[in-house]
Amino acid sequence: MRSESDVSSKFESLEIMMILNSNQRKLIPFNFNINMNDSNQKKRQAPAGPSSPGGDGSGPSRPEGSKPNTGDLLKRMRKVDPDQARRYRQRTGQ
Amino acid sequence: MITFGLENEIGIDRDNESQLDVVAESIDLVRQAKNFGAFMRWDYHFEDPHRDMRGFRVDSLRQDTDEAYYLDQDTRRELSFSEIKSDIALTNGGRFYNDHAHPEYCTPECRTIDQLNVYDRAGELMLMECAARLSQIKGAQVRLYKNNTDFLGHSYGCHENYLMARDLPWDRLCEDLEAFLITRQIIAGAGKFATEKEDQWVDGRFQISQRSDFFTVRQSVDTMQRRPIINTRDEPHANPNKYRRFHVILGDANMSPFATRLKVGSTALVLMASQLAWERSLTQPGIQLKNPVQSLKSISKDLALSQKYSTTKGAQVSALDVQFQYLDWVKSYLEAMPKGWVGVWEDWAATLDELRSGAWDQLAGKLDWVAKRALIQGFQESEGLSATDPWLQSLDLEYHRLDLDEGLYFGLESSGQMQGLPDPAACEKAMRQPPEGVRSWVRGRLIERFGSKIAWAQWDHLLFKADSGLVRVDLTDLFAESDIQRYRYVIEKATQLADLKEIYTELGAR
Repeated sequence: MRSESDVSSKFESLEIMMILNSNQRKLIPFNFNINMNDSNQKKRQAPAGPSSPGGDGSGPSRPEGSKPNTGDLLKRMRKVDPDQARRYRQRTGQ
Repeated sequence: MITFGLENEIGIDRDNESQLDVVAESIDLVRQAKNFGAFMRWDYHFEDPHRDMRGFRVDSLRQDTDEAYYLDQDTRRELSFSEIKSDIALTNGGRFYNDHAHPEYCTPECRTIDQLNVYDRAGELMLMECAARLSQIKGAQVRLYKNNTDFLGHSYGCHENYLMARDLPWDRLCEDLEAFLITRQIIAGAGKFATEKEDQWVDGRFQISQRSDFFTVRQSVDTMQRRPIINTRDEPHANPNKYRRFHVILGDANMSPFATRLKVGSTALVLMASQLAWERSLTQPGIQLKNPVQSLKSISKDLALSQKYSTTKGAQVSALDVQFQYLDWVKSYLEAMPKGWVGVWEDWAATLDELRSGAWDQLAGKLDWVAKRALIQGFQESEGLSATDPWLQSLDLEYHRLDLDEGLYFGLESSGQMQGLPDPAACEKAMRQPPEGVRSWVRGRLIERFGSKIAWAQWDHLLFKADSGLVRVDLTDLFAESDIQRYRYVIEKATQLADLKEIYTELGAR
């Protein structure tokens, strides 16, 4: 069982990362920071699909001046008990 | 598309309780919502989940054995059937009850995707309020999860309902929809750090869908075992000669409203195109996968979206290819659809393009499976956790936690990282008030105004105990805007049940 302080220390320099795909474990910042109201979203024209499934794996760079507020999120993740799912038992539903 | 709605079965747990009776807990939880509607007045007399779209009625469902087991247990609870169900017909037009062993919130019928997202979130807020009340009573934290599994092979559903005209032949509808539904998970999957079988955990590998492990046949009326890609339950909750309720059970419960928009929106678009193509004798999408069930499971595990699947015509297509084919097919019918659907189609198109180009940072603000994977695998990388570390499943579970302050999905929202969020004020209001311009408005408003007089409530009728006897309000054909407005005028003008004469049928004194 990990203590919260262990987790906390490892998180001091953590930025939330995303892994692009299973073959190319390259990390990019979890940098999306858009909060649009559903009905106010800018409508796009349907683009033609590129021929390369999964993309080239590089991903876009972080938008200038937009660092997501991940402090609260990290705090939430640190609080999750590693054994929470082990104890979770449900009955089959529909 | 006439109306649509969602039903979410919710997982329930309580801290410091290792042997939780989930049925009792679910009953207690639902009862915290009594002030949101009429309690224990749901009318089961006309429900018949045994009727099949293919023109017959089955004697029993696979779930009946399971139900019998629970009923045996429930007998010892010294509670009646109605008390166990603890139904609440909500003033927002929806329904909240204990379904087997899960609190289930059903949205009212809606006409737009924005409306649906408001009422889905309203249900989440109602559930959170109930959990807070019950936690106080029990002296321990009650946790609610809007997900579809306990990682041990016990799945519970998020069902979608689409009310449509009945004249489109069932077989043609299935031909048009099957490949779309199988591949839809790439935009609508909620993601899962597990592979499961029925009643069994297999491994902790990540996959796109929570539900795909649990589907074993192409069509069936069953929902609890031997689950089908296309559910054939024929229960329209409307005039059965005119309407069909297309009941989709293979979807995941989405936390992201944008994913809900894509899931329900794209399905409604395909259904509308199917109807239009049939009416105009035009071409069908024309794509059938050779191994539908196997493809459903494989697609869920193909995170690069690059795997190809055989069609019945011998072609090799990826899940993205199939979705793009449907997108193009629907496009030719857009001009015949109500104007608001163009925006849904454009969002679907943009999302598919982002999947194809690998724009994962954009997608992580929209799709649950991408957001969850990014969040948790980032944590895994940082901590050097193995792929089978149980912590990953705990984080997965907490992604779905219905708690604004602790749930991981809501952490993403509050840090401004998710798109397409419904208006908070509208969601707050929708906890008690029904949607405008829909049949559910009539149901919800009547419950709010005359709830104390309700004898029975159902999706397609309400029965009241008036001083003169029973009065019935029929909702089976109430879909035309002009009819709903007429009902509204009468309801708002009425000061007592007797004033509703124009819209109800008197059944005589009891």
